[in-house]
Amino acid sequence: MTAQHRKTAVLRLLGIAPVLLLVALLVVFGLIDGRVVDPDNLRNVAVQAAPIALLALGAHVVLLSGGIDLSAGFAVGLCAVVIAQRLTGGDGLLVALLVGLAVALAVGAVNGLLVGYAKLPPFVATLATMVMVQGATLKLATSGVLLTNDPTLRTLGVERVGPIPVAVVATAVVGALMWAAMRGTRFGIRTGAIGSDADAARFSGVDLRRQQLLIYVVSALMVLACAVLVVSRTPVVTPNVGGVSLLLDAIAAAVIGGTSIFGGRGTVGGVLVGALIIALVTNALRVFGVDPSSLDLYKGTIIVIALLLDAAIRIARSRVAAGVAGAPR
Amino acid sequence: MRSVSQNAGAGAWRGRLGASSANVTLLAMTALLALVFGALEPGFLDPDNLLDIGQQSAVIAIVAFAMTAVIVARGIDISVGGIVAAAGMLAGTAYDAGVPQLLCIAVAVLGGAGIGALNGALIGFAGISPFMATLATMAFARGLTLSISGGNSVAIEPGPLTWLGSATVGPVPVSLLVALLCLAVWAWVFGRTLYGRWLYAVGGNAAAARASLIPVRTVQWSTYVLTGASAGLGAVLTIGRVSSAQPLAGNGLEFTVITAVIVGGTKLMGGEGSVVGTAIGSLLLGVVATGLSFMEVSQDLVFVITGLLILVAVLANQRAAAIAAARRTLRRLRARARPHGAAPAGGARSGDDAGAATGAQRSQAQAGGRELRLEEVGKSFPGVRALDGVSFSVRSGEVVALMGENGAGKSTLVKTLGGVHEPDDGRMLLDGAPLRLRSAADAQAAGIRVIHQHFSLAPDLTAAENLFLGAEPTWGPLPLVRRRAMHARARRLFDDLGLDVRPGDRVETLSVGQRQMIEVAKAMLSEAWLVVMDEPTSALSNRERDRLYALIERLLGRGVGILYISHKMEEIFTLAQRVVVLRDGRFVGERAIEEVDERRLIELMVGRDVDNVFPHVAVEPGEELLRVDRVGDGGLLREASLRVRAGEVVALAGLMGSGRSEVLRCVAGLDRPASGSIAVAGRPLPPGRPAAASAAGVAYVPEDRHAEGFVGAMSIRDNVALAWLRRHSRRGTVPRRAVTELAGETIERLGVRPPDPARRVDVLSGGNQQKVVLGKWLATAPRVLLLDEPTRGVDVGAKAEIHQAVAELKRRGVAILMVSSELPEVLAVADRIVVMHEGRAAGELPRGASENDVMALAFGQGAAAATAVAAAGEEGSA
Repeated sequence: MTAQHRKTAVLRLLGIAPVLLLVALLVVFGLIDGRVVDPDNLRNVAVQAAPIALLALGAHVVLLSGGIDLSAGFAVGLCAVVIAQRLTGGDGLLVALLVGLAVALAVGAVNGLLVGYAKLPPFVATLATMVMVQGATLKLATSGVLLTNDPTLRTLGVERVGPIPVAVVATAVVGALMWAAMRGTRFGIRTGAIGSDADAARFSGVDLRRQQLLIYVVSALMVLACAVLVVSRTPVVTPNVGGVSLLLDAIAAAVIGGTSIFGGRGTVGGVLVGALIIALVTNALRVFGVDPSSLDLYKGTIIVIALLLDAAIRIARSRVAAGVAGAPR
Repeated sequence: MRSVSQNAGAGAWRGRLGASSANVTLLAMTALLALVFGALEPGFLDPDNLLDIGQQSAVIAIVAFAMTAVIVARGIDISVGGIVAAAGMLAGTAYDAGVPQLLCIAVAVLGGAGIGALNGALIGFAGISPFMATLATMAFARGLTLSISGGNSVAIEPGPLTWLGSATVGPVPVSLLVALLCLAVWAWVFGRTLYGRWLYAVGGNAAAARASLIPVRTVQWSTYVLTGASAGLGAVLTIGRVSSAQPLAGNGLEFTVITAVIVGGTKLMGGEGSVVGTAIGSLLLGVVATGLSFMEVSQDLVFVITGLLILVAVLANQRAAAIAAARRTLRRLRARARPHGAAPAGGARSGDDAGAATGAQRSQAQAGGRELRLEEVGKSFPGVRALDGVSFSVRSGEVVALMGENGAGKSTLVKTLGGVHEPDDGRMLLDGAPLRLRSAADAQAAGIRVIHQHFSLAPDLTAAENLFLGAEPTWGPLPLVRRRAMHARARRLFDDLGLDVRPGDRVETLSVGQRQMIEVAKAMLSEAWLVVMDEPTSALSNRERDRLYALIERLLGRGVGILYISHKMEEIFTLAQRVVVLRDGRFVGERAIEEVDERRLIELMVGRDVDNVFPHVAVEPGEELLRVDRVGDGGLLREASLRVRAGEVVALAGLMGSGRSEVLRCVAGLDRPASGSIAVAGRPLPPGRPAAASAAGVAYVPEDRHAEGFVGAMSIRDNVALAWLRRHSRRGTVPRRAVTELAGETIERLGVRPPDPARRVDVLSGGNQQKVVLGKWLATAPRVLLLDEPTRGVDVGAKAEIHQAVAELKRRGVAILMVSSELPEVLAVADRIVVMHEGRAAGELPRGASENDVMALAFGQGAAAATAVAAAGEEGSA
């Protein structure tokens, strides 16, 4: 029995592996250059993590259901451009946000309908919408660069509550809401059920089509949240905010945070930590003064190492878990 | 029969080479588009322009061919664009450093292969998901490019490095010829080589591929290396076209390439696809891109059209499914248009009636007398009449057994009752009122609960979440789940059932038996009046089975009716009051249990007289072929020793989890023993090496045929040849005639039905699938045959056929070691029985031992009993 307890404890420790990884990175980077762990810089890291975290939360929901949303990155650009255009066109913030919401919902609904109702593989469906969203963004952003200056948005993007930036607080609130939604609602349980075993969910009476529609709509809502944050942080909005690199950061954050790309597994807390890890790596490389042209090289390398660590942890976990399940009854 | 099967075989080979109807459709679509563009823009159909399209498509196609291999092997590579840039820049840097141009080509190709090898290592050997690994590599390759180029392009003087991408032979661009050459090579690889066969097997079912001695990880790794090398070649062509190496080359290429592969009909889930389809897909993309640029369409519209194209192509590939969906919708609409109750067939009713039935349910449940009646229910699938004229009824408080061989239509009937399939004709009546079940929710509303054979539990969810899935308790109309109430109710229910499971336990960590009981608990919870149980005991120990019986009694006491499906005769006679028999989808009859005996039931099911299901042939045992000495695996299996001689069948009995299967897996080399030794024909086996075990003459028919036995998307022929090919390929190519002969022989010898070697194995019935798995191993001419539950979930007719084949092998001097949970099978077939208890070989019983002797040992009750029986047995034989 004690052996079993020990195994359970090991499992629990492995469950917080992303946190351990974050701490380890902080220690290593701090030893290399103390400026990385300076409170001001850590605040920067948190701010840089915020948009990644928001998009990663959406990616988390989709990945949890066994799907993927490739359109999310470019959709951030589309929403940002639409909102900025409304604002520069003289509309109020509310109108701009409502128009942004409508665009996000449209993209999410198309994804959800293609995956849920037309039964297309999520990779293909969202690949197609990704390309189309790119086209729509180009079409809209004829003027190229848009300048926004909305005071309310500035508050969100630049101000602080005490020592903590508003953007970080807002992201934390969204994260908490998402945590509650995944744990305490039918939506959350059923999303995990679909990713874990879609047939089981269907036989249990879950309406897969409706559920998948909802999942991609939720993903689109996180796209909107991310776009709002992006617009609020930089007054200059171009069609290139978002795109593939932001999408990849978000998916990497979710996966490093413990969300399984095969569905069924992952926690909201892990995703937030994953976003911090990605932001920390990017930030630390800048602090170290790495040549900007080599930045991606190091970042790619570090992500590969993180993935290897993650794989090692997962193998260890499955070994231990198999031991627990296989114990004689 | 032989000639028919050979014809069908030829069709399948053609299909493998890609000349399938989907490809013809796609080609027609491409030609049509080209004609439309030609009509709109006069210059479009000029030969020069067409060659230009070919040249533009060349890079995409070359990379896409390799990507087809990756995707067929169930991977994905989104780093190809990055590799094109990195490989091009490596070549450019080498050129700058004065390396001869010819060598620069090698630098590009090898550089690409090197990055591909990194992908392959991350995926094949470190087990990282392909998407994530190649995502990281993409960032890495792009970073590498920027880092070595500093963001500047490198101009290249004309020479060998630019020749491939810029020269022409007559009017034809060299790059197009290179692409055609690649196509020819890949088509040959996919269609004719062992490697091609391995790609499909790895993508179709990696576990089964591994069990069939295929080096799965190496195959996966190699696909990424080949893709990297192809991207390197693509980089060379790109350099030639623009006379320089560009740091941003190949931007977005990954998505274009994947699009070409998917448009070409390759399935993202792996195991299916053709390189010819990919070639047409690349061409289609080239036609669209060129056509749109001819028409001077703006870039944004090009994006939108490309997106739409992906959707159309994939939907066209799924057109069977699309047509079926359209038909369903039509029927539904028509049903709605028809006046209420006027439809004799199809049971056309509006959705409100399900609600009405629920109301009726409540009032009648108190009365206790509910009835579900099926009248002439039928269901067809494309090419198969799955159910025909099924009529019977189930009432509250009775157990009706549903029997039939595998493929008789039981599963279809169960799915009909569960709301998964709708019948095409006939009707169902609930308490006399017509009933329509269009979804699982409808079935639940009608008070029908199905316990499926393959569990309907989500492994990543907790026990409590699974119990309530689909009907989670909420706070009134809010979507918030009452988690605490859920747990409390689950705990009460588990206590009630004597189930040692906590509500918060993840189902994944539970034993098979516990999962089965949770399924039953789910049915209890639903307050259903009719519970359909599909082979509920196939995974239960006897103790768990008895608990299930007690539970059934309680359900009956509550006025619940039960439709019980099982292959086990003793269960039917213990539980059921009536038996309904299906054969080949047709309703054969309904009998009161007193009217029939076992023999009569088998006759009804099989349609002929099967007198000896488990034949035993007496063979004088020969030399000792298998010797297992004190083997343990560090887990469930602690220590087991046994011997099997030529011409002998030894059964390993014991409870589930007693380490029986682990013995077989250690012998087969699939698990690595932690202690002890194994010898075949006197020679020790190296531990944990399936290939070595196979070379020594060991063959293993796994416990779970779906997981490890066969590759569902492959044909009977390809499955049968999978393990055999390893030693019978001719320098890596597939000897097609020999394979066809082998498949024909196997089909005849084991009686596989239908006798069509081109038929996909996943559409066969369980018994025929098992014959294919057995046939795959018999093809390797084993000396030691390991059978793990060889007849689980297999119907009586197939059981007899499988055991006749086993008896034949025994006669030929094969040593057979069999694990079975079915005691009648063990007692009838085995010459000796080794009983396992908690990971140890608890004792050995001679032929003639009784069921009680085996169970006593299995429950660890006294070795004394065993030796006594053994002594008695020896006396008896003396």
